[in-house]
Amino acid sequence: MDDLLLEFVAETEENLAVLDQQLVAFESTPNDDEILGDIFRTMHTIKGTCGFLNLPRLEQVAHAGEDVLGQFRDHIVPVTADAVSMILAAIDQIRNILTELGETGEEPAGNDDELIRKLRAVADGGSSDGSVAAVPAPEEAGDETVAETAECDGDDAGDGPITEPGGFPVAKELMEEFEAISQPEKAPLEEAPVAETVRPAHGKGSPSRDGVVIKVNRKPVKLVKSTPDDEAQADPEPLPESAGIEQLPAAEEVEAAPEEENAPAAEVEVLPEAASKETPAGGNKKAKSGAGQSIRVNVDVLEDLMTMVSEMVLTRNQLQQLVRNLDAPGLDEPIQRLSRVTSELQEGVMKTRMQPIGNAWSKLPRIIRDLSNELGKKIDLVMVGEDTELDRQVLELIADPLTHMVRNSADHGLETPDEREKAGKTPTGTITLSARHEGGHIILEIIDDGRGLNTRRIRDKVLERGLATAQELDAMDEAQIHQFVMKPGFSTAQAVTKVSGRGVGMDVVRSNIEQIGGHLDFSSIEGEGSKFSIKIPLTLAIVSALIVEVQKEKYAIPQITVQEIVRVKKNSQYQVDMIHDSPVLRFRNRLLPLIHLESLLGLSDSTLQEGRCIEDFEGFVVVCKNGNQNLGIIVTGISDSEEIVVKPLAGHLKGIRFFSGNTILGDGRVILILDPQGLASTLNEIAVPLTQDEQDTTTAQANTESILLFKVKGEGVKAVPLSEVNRIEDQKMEKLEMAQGRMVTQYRGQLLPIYSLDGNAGIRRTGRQTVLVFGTDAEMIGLAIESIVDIAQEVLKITSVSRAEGIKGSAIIAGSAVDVLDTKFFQRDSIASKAIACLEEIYGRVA
Amino acid sequence: MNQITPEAADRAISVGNAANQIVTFYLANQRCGVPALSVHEVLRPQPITHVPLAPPEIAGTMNLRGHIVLTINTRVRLSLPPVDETVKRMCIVVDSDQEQYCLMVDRVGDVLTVDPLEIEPNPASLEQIWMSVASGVYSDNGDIIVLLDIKKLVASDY
Repeated sequence: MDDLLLEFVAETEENLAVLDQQLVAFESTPNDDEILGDIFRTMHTIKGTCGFLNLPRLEQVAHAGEDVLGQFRDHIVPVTADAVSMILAAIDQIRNILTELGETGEEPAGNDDELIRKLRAVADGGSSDGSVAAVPAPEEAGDETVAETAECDGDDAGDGPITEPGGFPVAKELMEEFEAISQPEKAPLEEAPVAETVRPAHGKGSPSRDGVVIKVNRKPVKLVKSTPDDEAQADPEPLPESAGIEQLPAAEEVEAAPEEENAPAAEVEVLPEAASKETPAGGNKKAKSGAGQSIRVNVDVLEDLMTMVSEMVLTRNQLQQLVRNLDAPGLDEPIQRLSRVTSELQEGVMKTRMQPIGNAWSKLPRIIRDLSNELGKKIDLVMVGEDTELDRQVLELIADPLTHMVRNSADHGLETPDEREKAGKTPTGTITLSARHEGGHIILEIIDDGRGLNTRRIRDKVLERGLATAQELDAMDEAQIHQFVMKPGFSTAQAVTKVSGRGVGMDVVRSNIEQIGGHLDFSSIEGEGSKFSIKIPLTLAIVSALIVEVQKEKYAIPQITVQEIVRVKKNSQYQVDMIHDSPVLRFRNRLLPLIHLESLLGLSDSTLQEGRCIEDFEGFVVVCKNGNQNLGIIVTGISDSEEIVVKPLAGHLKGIRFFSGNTILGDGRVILILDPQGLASTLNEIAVPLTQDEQDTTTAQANTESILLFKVKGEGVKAVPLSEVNRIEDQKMEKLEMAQGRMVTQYRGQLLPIYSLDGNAGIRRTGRQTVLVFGTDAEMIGLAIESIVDIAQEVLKITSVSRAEGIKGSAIIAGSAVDVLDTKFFQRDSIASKAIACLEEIYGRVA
Repeated sequence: MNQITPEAADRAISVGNAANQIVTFYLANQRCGVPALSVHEVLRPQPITHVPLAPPEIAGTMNLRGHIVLTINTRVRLSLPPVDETVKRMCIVVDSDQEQYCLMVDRVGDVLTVDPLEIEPNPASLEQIWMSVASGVYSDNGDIIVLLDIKKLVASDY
């Protein structure tokens, strides 16, 4: 809901409470002008704010009330009990509308003409000159005693109350009507008993068509127990004798739908019998308690509470630990009680931060209504699970992306009624919004039954924009192609509409969601619709984190970024390799750039320049997701996984980009939270494309790739895409052997043919030499090189094709022309020589 | 003999004022003082979490009943020779601009009531680094106390 509106509701509720007190005081001292002035001002404030917020119904009631108060103030109308009751009735009505407003964010549909007319009658009835000609009386077919039924429909609710414009300015009739109400005997028979028809709605105030809530104005004096069917038969009950103006039906309108929502529709108890018989205020009881049920509390106060409770939990834990070692049986019970109370307290404080997601949805029906008009589509918005609660902070951050996605669904997803009918669907499209809890997360789904994503059109657009080649696209399945809509600037809308189609959209939505540790996923079936699901954490204040150890220091890594943890060990499947001075991990057929925390944070003297020691490293690599690229963080140990309360860093430490905050662990220790994004910024943007099985993000990477530049003796600098390099080895060259006319060496239990770009001359026979290893398993080959120069981040574009063996051609890398290696050549050659060897074995060496 | 002049009376009143109290502590045998009103509490040595890459004077962070408080190694801040790491040093928690800082000091001394009129300006011979954080000096029976300005002491850009 609109914050402004919320503020207004809360404020007005407070004002009304004050007003109640003031009026009671005023009644006993009718000549106290000071109190009257206060009352008048309060009412005036409410009226003014209503006008400002465009709440016509409230404004009218407040205005009428203000008029009466004005007459009081000017001593034109004497202050009588009846007149004051009338004002109170107006206040009650304002409160009723306000309650509804607070729940749904919209003024309830309905009509206050009765009340207003009566208020005016009071204002004018006592006026000395009797000039009531200017007062318009609503032209109503029915009389005031007929309870009115209003249907609250999403499409109508926004239009505000229906007011009768016409009127006949006859004071006499007005007075008659007024008197008619004042004489209770006349009323009863016409008093249609009122039944509530409450159908199970999707949620409170859900304006969807299948959740129509019928609201009824009725008298508080009446107890109605009825089924929806016997509306007409229910017996009218006579009004009690005390019936006065305060028992005007309109004044006592009670919105019953919300509270009876969950009650079986068959038998609805409207009001407790006792309450209804006694006092006209009976109907207000609910409203009053509703207003008193919430107070406004500064968020800071809650934060403080939260901190203190965390501290208390900590102290309790310490106490428990102590008692366990103490062997003091008398302490067990109080400690246990303390423990339980503390847990409950923590839970309670956490709850204060929670708000139902319906608050973020409240403006959506209106948006959908406007959109359907604008786009000429028929759209039903169904909302499920509005009561699902999540942290206020998350709620605020999710509201905008959500609106955008719903808008997208309405604009792109749903078809026009004609198109829908052609496709054999109902003309009205449905957008379903649902929220639910799932394992510490909130799952939000936006489902439309529209046309779904047009794979062909996305494909065309991808090609047109050069985001991927036709071959690449051929290799992708539909879901992978669909992922392209998440790319920046991607829009398949044929025309830019006012609503969407400018191509700023899904990528922003996605990054917004990911910023709060969420995840956006979607699936679509062409012709049947699309489903977007968002997974967001319940709260940002408490995150689950992986506690890692580096050189005995502990650090936290937000769990949401952690993809997996790999144990690395020398001579195992996973082993840290060095490319020049950069550690990498050969991982799932890709090179994963690694970050050596120890040296990055200056925790040890073993610098990477020494290089080699890290290759013997045994420990863990935490694979973290950072945007579209992964990176590995080298840590010595994994300690724990803990829920942590994120606290911001002190001002002095804000400059350190590797930390995003700090926290206090269960044992009271302060630890720093690592920021994978900050860590990645040290990587010089070595983009390592995600592998196919990590397709949940994107398929096509930016066109730039990491290119390894290396020196070959006598040949100058050569280049090879880093992705083709399996490993970089510092190979002992003494063990070289000749086999099948090739230099081979034993490498990981198999023979590795060693090539060199200048024949075998470039291969050393003694000492060590850097060897690039290409290919995998049986097709592995090694290329002996002089040294590694650099890793460049460039678009690899081969400009001239070479005829030289093993060279694909030349490309401009880092400003100079470099030969690009054709690794396939070596692999083919290796296979060919193996094949020859095979043949030779079978047929014997050809002499 | 002990005739109270109006001047002395004024002074007596102001002397009793908490605003004129200072908490004294020692740094490399130099007695220093900070206004008692800005001192939150004095703690025994606390476990401190080292913050890598932080400015050198930042000793780390500590947990003060659920609040994370930045700890400043006052010796480093004032370019004094470091003490043996094993020597546990006291912590004075101070408030500055609504943030709390913990000052690591060698030893905590008395709380003194100082006469504001007797606070002398920094002597010109004071070292530059002391000059930048001192707000004046006070002589306690001949024992010189350097009064430190907490705001300047904890500033991140000095």
